[in-house]
Amino acid sequence: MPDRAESLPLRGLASALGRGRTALLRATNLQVLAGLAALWLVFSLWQPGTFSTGGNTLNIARQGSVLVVVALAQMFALLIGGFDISVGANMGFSSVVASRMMIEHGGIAVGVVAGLAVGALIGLVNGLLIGPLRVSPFAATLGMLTFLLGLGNVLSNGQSVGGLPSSFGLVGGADWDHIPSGVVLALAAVGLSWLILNRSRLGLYVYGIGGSRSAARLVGVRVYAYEVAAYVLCGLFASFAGIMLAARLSVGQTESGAGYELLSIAAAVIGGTAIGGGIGRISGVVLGALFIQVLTNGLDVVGIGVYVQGMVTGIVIVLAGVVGLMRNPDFFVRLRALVPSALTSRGHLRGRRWLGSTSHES
Amino acid sequence: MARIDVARVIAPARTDRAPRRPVAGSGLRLLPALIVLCLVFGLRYPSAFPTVGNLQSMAQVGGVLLAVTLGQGFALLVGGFDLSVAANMGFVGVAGGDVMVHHGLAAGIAVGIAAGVVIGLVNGLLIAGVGVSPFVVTLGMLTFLKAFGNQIAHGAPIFGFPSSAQYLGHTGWGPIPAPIAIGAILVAAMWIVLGLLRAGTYIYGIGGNREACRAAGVPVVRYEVLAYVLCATLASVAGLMELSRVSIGYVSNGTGDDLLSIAAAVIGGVAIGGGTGSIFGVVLGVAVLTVLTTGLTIAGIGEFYQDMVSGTVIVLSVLVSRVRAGVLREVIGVRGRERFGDGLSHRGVTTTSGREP
Repeated sequence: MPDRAESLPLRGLASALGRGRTALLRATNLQVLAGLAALWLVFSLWQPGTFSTGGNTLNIARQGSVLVVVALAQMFALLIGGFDISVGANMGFSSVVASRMMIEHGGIAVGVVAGLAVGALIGLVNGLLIGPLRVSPFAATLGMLTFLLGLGNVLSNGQSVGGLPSSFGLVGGADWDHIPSGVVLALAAVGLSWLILNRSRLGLYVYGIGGSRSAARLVGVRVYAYEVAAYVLCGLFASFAGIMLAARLSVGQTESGAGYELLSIAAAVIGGTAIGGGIGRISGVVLGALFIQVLTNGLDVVGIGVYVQGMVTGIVIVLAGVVGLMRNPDFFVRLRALVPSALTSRGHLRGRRWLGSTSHES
Repeated sequence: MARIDVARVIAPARTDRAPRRPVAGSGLRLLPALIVLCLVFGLRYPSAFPTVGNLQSMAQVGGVLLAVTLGQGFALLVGGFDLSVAANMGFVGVAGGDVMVHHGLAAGIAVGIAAGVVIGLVNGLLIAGVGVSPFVVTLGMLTFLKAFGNQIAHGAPIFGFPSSAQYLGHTGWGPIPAPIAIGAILVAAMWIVLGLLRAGTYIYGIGGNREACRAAGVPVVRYEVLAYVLCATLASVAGLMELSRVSIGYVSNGTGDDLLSIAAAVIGGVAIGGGTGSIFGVVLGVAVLTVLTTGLTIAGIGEFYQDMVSGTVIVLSVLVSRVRAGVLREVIGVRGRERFGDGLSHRGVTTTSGREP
């Protein structure tokens, strides 16, 4: 009986949350925007002299532009129902290939094209493994990540490739007439992915396959072909981000993209892209990337130690996942389904053990 | 007629589920690969590979990897994975190591294992209870633990453990190297859990078909949480072993073991997605990976090329298991025809309903 009494408030909470979702949790972009505004306000009040200055804003824009492009890359893989943890290694590898081509064959164009081609090739291999050969996205892109780190280090002798032509900075590092070039390129990437996702058959099918693979197959969509295409786009965008990063750092380096695989997934999930596929908007992904960038930059500026920053980032990633689930009505169905299970006749005997006391199992 | 239909419906399900043997299973096919690897390295480098010193160092490295991979096996069997095991090892190296220096060996071990249980509970409750994807949860946990460990240790390594700490992973228990002894105990424990207890049946069942288990009345959430707790606890044990092996407690202890443990389990025949895998396969997967990396190092092949080899091995091992499952045949045969359009029916479908602008 005490179980019953304890469970009732929980049940009430679940149904209240369930009711509230329509009003509070519907407009994903508005939530992220509100979060972004709140972050900005907190950091501005905390450090008005350093955070809310024009220079720092430009800095956030420069750093954020790379993250936006990787997050868009990740979005293609997430939308079709997988994910790609090799995007960071792809960035580093493409930056090494681009830098070496630039130095050895002269010409920025050669380097950039080579970098993009390598990125698309990486995406093609991932896509073929995950699509037709049905290796799980995790195993395929984990293998690719490990392989690329090795090959990138072999190509660069484990060092950074420097001595790049100074005009290379215009591809993501320097400013074009006071406008950071990275921002312009990121906007171009946003426009391109908008065209692909919202104005092309490919985009329609990517959403369709992510929503229901079997339904897409039944209506005659060539699922594998579009799955490969999505991973190729993912690889292409990731290598583009890698080249932008190399232009900003003025070196190509295998490890330069480390960490972006995780940040890109976090940005996409915060922005409302569902892990599992079919749901996600470009505007959300851009806002999610900005959210992470403002958070990182703000914590830096207010002088919070790098270790505490890591702890905050970890918590934010998990919270993003939880908030992402709240957007799905199934979450509340699930929550409500869990609570009455403690109220059934067998539930009386078991009490609230579903909540976790597990170590005395068996 | 009705009977035949029922048999047809049930038969495929049975062939899907029946061959699950927690002890031996499909991992056996790795044994020839392991023997060939040992022979190749042994004959090619007779003065470096088959020596007592090298075998001891392989036992130390392999024992730690075995402990993590056994834990990772639980998370994989139940249908998820745990990316936070390496960060867990590093965290235990710092937190458990700090306590060990100041309050003795037993306290250090207790704190380390308690940390593992708490980490596993948080992971499991978020994944199984709340329903967040294992990727997001364990990634967040990884980021958090690394930073938290650095915060505790101020980013510095911890030294000066009591001399008894070396029995965790450095010296021998009598003639048996400690990591092998601990590894054998862990294998036995895992065999009891998976082979003899109801928890094992449920863990396999949940990984095989979560909805069916729920419908059959299995308390799915509880057993899924249990799997993540076991995973994190074994990772903590591995963290204590690693601390003893290198005699330093540092956040970067175990770096790379998150991916290596998944790779070893997958090579050993544990399926990503759950429900399939054997203990023997895990042990052999760890052995193959350890022999391969040690052998490549002795052969003077650089770390970078080794990365490339491990990446290829990960993907190849999954592909091989796919071939065994008949997927490749299916893809090239049946699906290939469907994809490349040999039949009018497919073309008809796409032109009339799918391809129409």
